Amino acid sequence: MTINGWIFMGISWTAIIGLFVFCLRRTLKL
Amino acid sequence: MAREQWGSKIGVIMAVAGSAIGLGNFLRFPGQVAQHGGGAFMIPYFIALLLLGLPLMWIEWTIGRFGGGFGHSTAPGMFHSLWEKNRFIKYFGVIGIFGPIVIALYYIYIESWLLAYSFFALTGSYETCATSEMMLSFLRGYQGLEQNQYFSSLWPAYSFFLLTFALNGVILYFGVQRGIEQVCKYGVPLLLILAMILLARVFLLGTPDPAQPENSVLGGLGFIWNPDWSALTRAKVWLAAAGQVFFTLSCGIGVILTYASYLGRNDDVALSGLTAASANEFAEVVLGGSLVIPAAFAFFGASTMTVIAQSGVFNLGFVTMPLVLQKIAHGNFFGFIWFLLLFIAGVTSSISLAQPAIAFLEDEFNLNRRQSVLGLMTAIFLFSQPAIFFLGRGVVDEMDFWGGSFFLVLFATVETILFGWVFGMDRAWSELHTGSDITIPRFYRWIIKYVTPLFLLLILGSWLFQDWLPVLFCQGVPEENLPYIIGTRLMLFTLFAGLALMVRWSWQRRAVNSGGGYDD
Repeated sequence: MTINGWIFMGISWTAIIGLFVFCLRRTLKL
Repeated sequence: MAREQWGSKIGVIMAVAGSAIGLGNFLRFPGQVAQHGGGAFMIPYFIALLLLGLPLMWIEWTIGRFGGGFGHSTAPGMFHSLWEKNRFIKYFGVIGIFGPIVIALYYIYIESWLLAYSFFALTGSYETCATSEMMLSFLRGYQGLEQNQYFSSLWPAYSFFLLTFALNGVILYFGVQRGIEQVCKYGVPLLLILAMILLARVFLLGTPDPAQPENSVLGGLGFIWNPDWSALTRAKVWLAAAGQVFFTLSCGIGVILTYASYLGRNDDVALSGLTAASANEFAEVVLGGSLVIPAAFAFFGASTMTVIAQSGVFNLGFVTMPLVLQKIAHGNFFGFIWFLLLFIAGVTSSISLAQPAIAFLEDEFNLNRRQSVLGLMTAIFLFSQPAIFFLGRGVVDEMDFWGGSFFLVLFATVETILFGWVFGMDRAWSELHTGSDITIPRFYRWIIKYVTPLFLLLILGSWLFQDWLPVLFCQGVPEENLPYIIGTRLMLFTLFAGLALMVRWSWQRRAVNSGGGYDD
């Protein structure tokens, strides 16, 4: 995997996991 | 009759997420990324998610809760509530019942393959299939497309179909709160956990054959994520990304409308819609993108992987993945996990497909739950027989075109215009924020009113001319299959006309009961 590949995967994963965790915390009022 | 309600906020979110998380997340998405520019595909994908996916989610959640306030759980009544002066809009809403039924006609059958393969994985039934050709032959034998050393009739497939069908019926019989909500509340987290277990196993594969160091899991991740910048200059890639976002979120089907209709007037829809979408994206991008292709790449390498990625979603799931998992220790167990997680994803989606029609019968004809489920399941059972017995004649592809593609985009386009333009953006925005747990940035007013409908019209136009016209005119259909395609179209037309007539009767009955208040 190239550096660019790592960057794309890293940004995509971070954005999605971040959004998912944010939403779950707000929904479950944690 | 009292309307049904969700038992908890997380329950409805899991139900919508369960409806959205399906085979597409684990099989279609990685193939699309690999075919359309790798990591670069994620640029149009995320843009489509922000401009198309999330607005559609909010639109459907809001229309659903709004319609539920008038006692409607399905699109005909909801569209009528949004545009009371128009006599015909309720007939357009029929698509919101027709579409999910048509998808259910073949989806439950495909779901039953997953149950069967979970069983086959545990019992080691396909252990003797050492090559792709043998595994494909196993699949074709199971589907009844050929008689071979693995299967001599369709009965094993039909038995698993009956089992899966009965399971769906039982869940639906228990209703929204005790059936759908309970299954999704436990089913969705369970499938995410199963996918994470499999993900850990796939990442531990490393380089299975030291003699071929280029065939590794990292190489597989590179196959998906290494960006090809030239892809961004191709309109086809942007359309593919928009299509993937659209299909993965289960928008335009009518299911979210029905699920949201069981919310209370002041229940949040803005955060709930976002949470359901983010759960789906987690399952798709993080889990789906890291399972099939990296695993297959590690064993087969780049050149074979390209052929596999382009050979279609079913081959990835039913041929490639079992072959790969057979090569590792405890392969039967991991094969079982793979098919079980897909089966759970399938069940949480198929029950959602049946709910709009059940709700329609309950709301508009005052039938009780038992009568509605019995009536609908009988119809689905009868109409799904051609999909089972004439699979090789293109019947499923034809149903998928109408129910899973054409009407979906058309329906989403019209509901978006109805929401932003007919209902009016001021009312729409205020409705969306009633009881809301988050404040959506104001620029989304502009996006929902202008950008999303334009985006959808663009997709509708391009697909119509590029992909749909040949299908509409049966171009490329073998002559011997034509009678089956025409027969399927007649069957679907009868179903649509029947539903439209039911809407008409229902409105006439309401008009009589309300002393003429309901115009026809």
